[in-house]
Amino acid sequence: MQNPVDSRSSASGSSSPLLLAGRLANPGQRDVLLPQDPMRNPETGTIIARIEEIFAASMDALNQNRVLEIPIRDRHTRRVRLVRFPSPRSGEAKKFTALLQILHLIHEALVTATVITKRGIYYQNPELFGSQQYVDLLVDDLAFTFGSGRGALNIAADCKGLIAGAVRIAINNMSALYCNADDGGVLLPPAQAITGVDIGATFRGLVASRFHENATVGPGILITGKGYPDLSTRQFLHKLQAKFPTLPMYGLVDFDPYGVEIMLTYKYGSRSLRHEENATLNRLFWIGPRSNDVLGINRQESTSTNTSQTCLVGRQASFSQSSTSLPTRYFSPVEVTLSLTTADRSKAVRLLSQTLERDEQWPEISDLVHELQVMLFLNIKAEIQAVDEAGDLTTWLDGALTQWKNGR
Amino acid sequence: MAAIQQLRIASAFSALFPRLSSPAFGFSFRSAVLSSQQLRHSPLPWIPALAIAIPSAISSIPSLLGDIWEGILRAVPKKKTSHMKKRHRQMAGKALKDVTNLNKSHITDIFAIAATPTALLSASGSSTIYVHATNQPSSPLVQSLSGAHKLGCHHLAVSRNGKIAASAGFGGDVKIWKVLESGSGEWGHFGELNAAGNSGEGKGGAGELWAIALSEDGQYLASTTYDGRINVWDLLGDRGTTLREYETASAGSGSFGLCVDLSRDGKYTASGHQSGAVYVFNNDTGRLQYSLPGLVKPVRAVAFSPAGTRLAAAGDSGIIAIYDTKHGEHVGNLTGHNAWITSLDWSDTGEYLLSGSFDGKAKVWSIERSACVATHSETDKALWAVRWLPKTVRNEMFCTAGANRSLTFYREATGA
Repeated sequence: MQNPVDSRSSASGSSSPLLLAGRLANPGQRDVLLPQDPMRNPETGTIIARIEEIFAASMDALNQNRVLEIPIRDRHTRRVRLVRFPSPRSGEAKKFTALLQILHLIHEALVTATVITKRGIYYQNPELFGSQQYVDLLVDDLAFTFGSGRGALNIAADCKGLIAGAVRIAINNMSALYCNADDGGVLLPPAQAITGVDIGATFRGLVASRFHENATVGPGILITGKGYPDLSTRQFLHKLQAKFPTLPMYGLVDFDPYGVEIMLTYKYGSRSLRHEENATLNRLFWIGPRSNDVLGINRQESTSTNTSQTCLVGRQASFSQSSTSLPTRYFSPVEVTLSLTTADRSKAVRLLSQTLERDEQWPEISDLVHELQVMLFLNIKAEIQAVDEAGDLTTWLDGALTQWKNGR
Repeated sequence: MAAIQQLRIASAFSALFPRLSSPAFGFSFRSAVLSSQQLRHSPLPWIPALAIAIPSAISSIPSLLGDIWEGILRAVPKKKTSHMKKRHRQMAGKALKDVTNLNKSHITDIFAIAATPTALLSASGSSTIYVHATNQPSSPLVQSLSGAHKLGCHHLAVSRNGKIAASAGFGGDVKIWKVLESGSGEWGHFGELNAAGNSGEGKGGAGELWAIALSEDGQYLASTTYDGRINVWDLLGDRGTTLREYETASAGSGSFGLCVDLSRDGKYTASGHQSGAVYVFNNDTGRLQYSLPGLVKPVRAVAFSPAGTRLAAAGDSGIIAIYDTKHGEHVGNLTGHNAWITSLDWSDTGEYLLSGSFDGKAKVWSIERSACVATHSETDKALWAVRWLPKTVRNEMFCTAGANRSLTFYREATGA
């Protein structure tokens, strides 16, 4: 959208991971060049000045005991309207407060040359804003008022995808850094696995333990969409898949209807953005945790091959540490599972129905059906954390990836 | 108090040494796998793990532990027969097992089975319900009720007279089946249950149904809902209206009803819930008879004894609790399962209770001795349903089914 600056940002090969976050998480990292300093945007100065003008006017108004005002240009009538405080209408008072807060955040972002997200703004004060839509509306109003694009306010739509791993990404324009790699060429060293992770916290844990470098199956890339993935993240992954058709991709999501839906969103795209192309991952495998992992069957299998005739299996783990080297941890499923809520159940039934309606023959479709049915039958769900060991997921993930690699 | 103490010691003991406690009682009940019908299209041939079903063998304790185990065994005073002798006897086994592979099949987990005097119905994650003739050798598949439940079927119930069956699907649909008058023994569709209609008490729809049970003659059906309500329906009357509606909590806040049973005389309805609660309702008065304490964890199976004097309940606690239905007292626990118990069934005489668990083990319990008399594990995959076959001329038989997607038939091997 801006003049394409030749800015091949590159992480140095396989050793240093590149983190793509809402903003570049590690701007100080060598070899990563910011293609364009946000401060250099010619509009930036003007906008800062105009925001400061509004602040100054408010201060004056306070001093002079006048009504505070923020001028907003209406996007429909194109006329300037004043949002006042105090106001006889409660809606206006709320709008004023919200606008002031957003202006403050934009100012902050512009001055420090960082980028904030609409989502980030909302979470600054969810109680005040009430909804994400309200924030979106006000942000667009402000951009319109200042006669600039939203980008010029250093506000990005919604980039929540995070990536870590041995990947070098060449980017053509600034926006590409914000998970929008449409125009960016993607270069990968021989990486062997990609894991889509559904929850941000899990992602951070895995990155902290440098799983993307130390996994037994070889180095890989970790990507999270923090919940339901946005279009940019999915497009990025689709591009990755198109570029590296042999790169296996695995989805790590909670064992609950929402986790399954997130996985399916990666795989098939979202319902509301069905018209979007190039945002699906037909080679994504659902690595789990699945019912077997959650309910400890795998763990039992590892020890029960020679004990299937006895009643000992359940407590085998405590004995077997001396006799086998398998990492076993006995737990009863009750400790790690939760029961489904009514909403969970109806979502699971809906997913089940959608899955069965799909005409295409996806090899794991019966797996998916089975998992949903078991979930419903036992009325259980579990988070990814159900399979970790005191917060360390890597052991399980290593095992699961190895299993997949060896042709599960 | 002393009795409770003793009970606790006993259960702790059996929990620690499950193998020790049951041989100590000795057992006359032995059963053999008659056949296991493998009902899965599989890329690899399924190989039965065991040729002989030996209850409570200790052959498979890891070698390192074997010595310790032997030490423990010797340290405990033995009764009548030594454990080794017993084991050898079992190993000598008269048990035989046939494996029959069928092509028409369940390709997903079998979630429910139900037995009539002549047939075994099985339902799975697929849309088809299968009927096997248990009165013929090797129990051939005689009928497929295809397209029964689009999203798969999780519960099945048949009336004791074997004339009416009901099935509940994952989509919340409940279908009724009836043996055709033609005499062929075939089943035909007998309508659906309109759960979305108004309930008898005008509180709106009955909610989505989950577990189901049928009365002896198949006229009444009891069902649970997601929000913990229990309904009784008259299948010959207005199916859009409940006959009885029991609330277990204020509207909408009840605990998920995982299982339900009707006593043979139709007088009581029992339900087991996610919260661990077990309720018994009196169908005559329409009131809650007992709220039974004891299990805390989700209850996945409840079953009235044939005479209706006892109620067995079990679930994630791994314990089978036995209640007296006359006074609502907790009269005992059966301990020995080390995993969630998913299914329970009383033998025709009420002498034995059959249980199936999540780790693939089926156990036969003697009610009189309050002890496990046989343990079978043809699979380490979860059993979702275990059922006795109504006693015919020959020995007692039962069938297990679950995540290994096959039906396994066992026959009691009487005589030592």
